[in-house]
Amino acid sequence: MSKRAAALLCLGLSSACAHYRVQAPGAAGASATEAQGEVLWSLGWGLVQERPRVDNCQDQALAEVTQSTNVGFALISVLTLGLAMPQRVEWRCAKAQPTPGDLGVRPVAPPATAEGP
Amino acid sequence: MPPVIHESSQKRWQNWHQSYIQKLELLVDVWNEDASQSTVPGYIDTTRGLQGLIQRALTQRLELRGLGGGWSFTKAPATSGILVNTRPLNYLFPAPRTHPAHPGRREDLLFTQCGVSVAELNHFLKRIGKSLTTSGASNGQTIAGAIGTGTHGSNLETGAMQDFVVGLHLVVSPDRHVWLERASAPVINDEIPQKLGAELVRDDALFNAALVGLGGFGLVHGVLMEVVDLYYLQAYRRRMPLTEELWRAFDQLDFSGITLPGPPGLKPYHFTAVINPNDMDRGVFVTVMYKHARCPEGSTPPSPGSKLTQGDNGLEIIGVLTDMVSELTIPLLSRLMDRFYTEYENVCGTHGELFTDTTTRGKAWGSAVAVPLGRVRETVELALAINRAQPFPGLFGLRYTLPSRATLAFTQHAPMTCILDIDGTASTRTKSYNRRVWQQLAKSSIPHTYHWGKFHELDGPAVRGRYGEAHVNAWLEARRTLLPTPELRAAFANDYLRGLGLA
Repeated sequence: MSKRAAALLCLGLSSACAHYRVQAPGAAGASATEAQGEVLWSLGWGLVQERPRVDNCQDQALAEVTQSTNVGFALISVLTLGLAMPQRVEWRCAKAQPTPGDLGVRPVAPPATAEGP
Repeated sequence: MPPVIHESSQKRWQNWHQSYIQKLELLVDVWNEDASQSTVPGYIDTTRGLQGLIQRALTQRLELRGLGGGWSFTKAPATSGILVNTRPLNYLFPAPRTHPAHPGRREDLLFTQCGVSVAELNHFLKRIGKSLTTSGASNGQTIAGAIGTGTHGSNLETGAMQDFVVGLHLVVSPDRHVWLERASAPVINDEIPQKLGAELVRDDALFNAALVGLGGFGLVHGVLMEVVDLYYLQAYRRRMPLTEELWRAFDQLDFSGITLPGPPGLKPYHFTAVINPNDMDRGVFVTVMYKHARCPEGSTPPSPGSKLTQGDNGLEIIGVLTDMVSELTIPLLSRLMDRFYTEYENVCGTHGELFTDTTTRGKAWGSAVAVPLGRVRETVELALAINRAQPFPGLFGLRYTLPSRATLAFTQHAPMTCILDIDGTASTRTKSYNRRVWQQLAKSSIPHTYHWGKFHELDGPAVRGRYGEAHVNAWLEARRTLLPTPELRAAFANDYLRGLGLA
């Protein structure tokens, strides 16, 4: 398929033609949850900006945030001259970083070190 | 205190590689009540929480599935019923007390909850001076998900990831959970399963079957694994002409006719190849890594933040490239490979530093077929011949592993299994190409099996034909033993297992 055809198809069918994803590097980027998201509106040229309700992360940080737009959102923004600008925002929660535990049967002796007391 | 079970409002779920969308009844995230500290009471409470979810599935006559990283291309983790996201469950318990007959050191054992990712494991193990023996090229999978589908690396001295697992804690019903290990090699001290309230079952057949259990043996809550002292890998990647001698290396792992990159006289610990079937005149990429107790002088550390890293293979390459461009053509793939998948010399880091990829997504589509040594060249040439007739924008990868003891491991071929990865963009062309390869392989005499987590078109008869009647029957028998009622077996079944004749 040519690039032009792909672009047209994307425009025609798109639920989300452009994504911007920010993901924490390394182990922190391995998220704890599936993507959850909502459509947020910026109204009155930014006078009113909705914030996402992140209620699923159990006090943990975010591992990844994706912002998406599509042709419908772009049209709304253009037709309202920027008065109303919708965006879709999705997030994945970070994992907790628990301290290691002991299964409870005799603790492991600490390794000997070269440094004396 | 009971675990936090968060019910999501979403009724559809998509896997990490975005190859399908599954409608479902309920998606729940399960978090330990105290997520900040690994405790035995917390672990026990979470076991009870998982049992409550099984009860709910039975009461509502729904299927139930444990979800890990969702890394599989296939519908192995998918369900129309209750999808239990286990990724928040990441308690760690190093050095548990061992059985008197266990010959190893307790410091070489690590018990973890199912949701610990391979990346987290690498990170934690480095801190305590330990390492995994092997993992896949990418590391976003959870430990339970990785072993459940038989994830493998290309380490010439060990098997796939399930082969370093020595104990499993399975939650199999609302009123039963078992600690499973081999009778021939008991590892855990009897007091520990007792302390967890688990029924201790030592049985080789049950354990080997449940290792690559495809989610069909209940919820894997805990995994006991053997780890090794921290080691370093000195890595090289070079583009080499595909000579008769290099073919012999691929086919037999006979390196006598070639000069591998790196210091002479050392035996490779890791060996892999990436072949662009549409750009072979310029050679194929060979990656070799040598194991050391510490990095040799003069070596350089891996560069964090680069798009492709030292351990990346065909799937990671395609994933990264299709994240950058929406349409990957044959010429564009070659050009992007030149830019991003380059030769390197004498890079040294830990296992976890060289196999770092947690981010690959893109629009990749891949299959992997395993064959025994001695049939590798024949398999690759079959795939190359089909590509000449119907070229596709994709890559072949060759990786190697020792045969697994898991009953339904696809890496089962002795004396050594070679895995031919065929990875491309998620396009009709790639799918059609793969189907032709599968059809030709089915007509050939080459013994072969397919990766459970990558695309294939296996059905019941094909599974029995490829993996062996005895293996399939043993796996099903073990499943009936651990899940003794039809209701339990139905709860832990899904379309994927039914399609394979394994439900």
